[in-house]
Amino acid sequence: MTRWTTGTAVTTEPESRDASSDSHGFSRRRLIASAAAAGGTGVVGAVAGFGVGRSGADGRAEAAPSRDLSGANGPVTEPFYAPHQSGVETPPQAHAHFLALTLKPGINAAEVVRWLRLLTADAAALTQGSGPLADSEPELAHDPARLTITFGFGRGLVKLAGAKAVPIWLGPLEKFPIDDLDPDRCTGDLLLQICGDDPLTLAHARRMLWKDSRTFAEVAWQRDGFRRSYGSKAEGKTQRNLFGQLDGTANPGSGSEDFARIIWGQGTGREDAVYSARGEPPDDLGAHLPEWMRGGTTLVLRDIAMNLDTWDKADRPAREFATGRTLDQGAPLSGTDEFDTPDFTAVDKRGLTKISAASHVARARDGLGPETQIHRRTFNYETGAGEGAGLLFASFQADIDRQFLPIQRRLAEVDLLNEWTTPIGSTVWAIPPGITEGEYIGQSLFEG
Amino acid sequence: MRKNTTLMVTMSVAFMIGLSACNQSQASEPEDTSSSQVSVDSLSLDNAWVKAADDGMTAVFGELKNNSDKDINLVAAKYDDADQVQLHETLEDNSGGMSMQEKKGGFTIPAGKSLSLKPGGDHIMVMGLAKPVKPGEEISLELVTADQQSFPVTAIAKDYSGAQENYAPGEADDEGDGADHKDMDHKGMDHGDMDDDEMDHGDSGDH
Repeated sequence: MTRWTTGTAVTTEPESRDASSDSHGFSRRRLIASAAAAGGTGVVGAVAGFGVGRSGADGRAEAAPSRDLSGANGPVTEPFYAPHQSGVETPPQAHAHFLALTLKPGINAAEVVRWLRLLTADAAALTQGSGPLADSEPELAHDPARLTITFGFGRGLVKLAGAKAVPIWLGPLEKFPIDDLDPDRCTGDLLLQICGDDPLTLAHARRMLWKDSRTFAEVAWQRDGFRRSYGSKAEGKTQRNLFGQLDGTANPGSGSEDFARIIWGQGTGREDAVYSARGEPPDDLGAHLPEWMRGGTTLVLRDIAMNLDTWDKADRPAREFATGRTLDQGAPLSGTDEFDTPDFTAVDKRGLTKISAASHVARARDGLGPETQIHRRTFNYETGAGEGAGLLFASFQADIDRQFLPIQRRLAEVDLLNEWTTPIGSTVWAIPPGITEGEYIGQSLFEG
Repeated sequence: MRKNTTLMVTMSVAFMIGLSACNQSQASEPEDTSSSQVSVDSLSLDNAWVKAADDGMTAVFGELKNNSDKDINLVAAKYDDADQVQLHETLEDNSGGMSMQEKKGGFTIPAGKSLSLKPGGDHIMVMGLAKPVKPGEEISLELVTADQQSFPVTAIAKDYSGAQENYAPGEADDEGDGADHKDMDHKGMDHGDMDDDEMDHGDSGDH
């Protein structure tokens, strides 16, 4: 176990346990692929326990570059029936559609349950590579390519199950001085986060979900995002945003004890737990969640516009100074490797700290303990040449008050990156737990 | 809330057969000693769905499965909230289009085989709806065989724009859902005369 101790030798230690050997011997993707081939969809959910090598081996073969001509990724599935919904701990796919829906006036709880049953059945089929009932183009469902469909509930939907079911935090965040929010991007009663490695499969999934939604709801807003394509980078490599920065270095690894505590809000009880250099997070972060959310988590979804034109005016040293990290390796300016723990006390020849106290990395973590961590599952967007560009910042954490807000408040106060970024959309969602076959997503809310 | 209303959509075939068994008490079928799974209905409608409709007509689709070792002749279907239910087939007509008509003698499902009911093909036609069939709703029907056995089945209602032959012109006018109105108004369908087995399939251009 590593512990967070400022300015000591631990600064050279990797932030996560993921360099451990199991990321070499076990490929999670391979596990899922073989489980899918065996038809054991229910089994896979229980296997979410293998650490994906965030800082692990590159995995690239020494051989000359070659293309996968076999279509290997098409049939790969992520579990649908599992203790937690997929699409949170799932290693991020290449593409995402975020579709927020608003209930039509007068829709009641019984109707919402009918709707959720339809969407659950659709998602269960689509994510496993089958066309759902009444699918006019079932062939478009046959290559799931790690399709996941994650449901998020907004206040308006939860309220239909009774005012007592609504958590206090489920509503707009407090106002931040950096925000320039478009009210039309801050609404919605149901969020469908549709992720996958194949954009055609995604389009079809969204179409099916929409056809089964249009009786009950209207589109509140929607946004498409992307990361590196499947196959471009080894699994677990940190993605880059449109500023060219590595984005998500500090994330807890899938399957880790950190992830269980920080996102699902409950420890796994395992004996061999290994924590990041931030230290051991508390295991009660989910204690405040209502009973119907046990096994679920919270999502703060921020639509952050990035001004590429003014970013162009900043030269490399200025960019790195603002971030506190190098652009090429993503290493903190106090170190040499992406996963070096930032040393906020390290000084250069002039006696100045190598990492500016106003830099993004310093503001986001200096002095904050292991409790104050999130899992950012981000997707880039750019709507066209010279048009809007930004980041869909999906932040998962068990407790918004204890984890997300302390970071956000500090960044809103001072963060050199704010010069180029503007939050234009902001929504908060309850992510209900996963289900077993025969149940529907949200059953614990409406029938709990 | 009934807990098993979506079971039909999400369930594996094996599980669905088990579910049908729960309804066995309503069927008059004697125990089939030739089968090891004595509680399985000899006829089931798997992955059943019905096109949602506010009024007028609709149709039921799915996989009619003969789980027995004898051919089954389905001759009728019953739905309480409609004037009439017919078993329909869709055939090429003389003009090169498709038209649907009542299937004389009903559907025969060979022993151990399935018959697929789907838009543009065989289907169970429901006419004169007494109340809307809403998306996500589960409706109950009875399938009746030539030897007068009755099998209860359920179908989930789906918002579906195809299977246009199930709507008569003019009826779409009162619908809340706007998407297809113009389309449907222009279709040359003549469903008004229910005594006529032959019905024009208006959107033959789609085939």
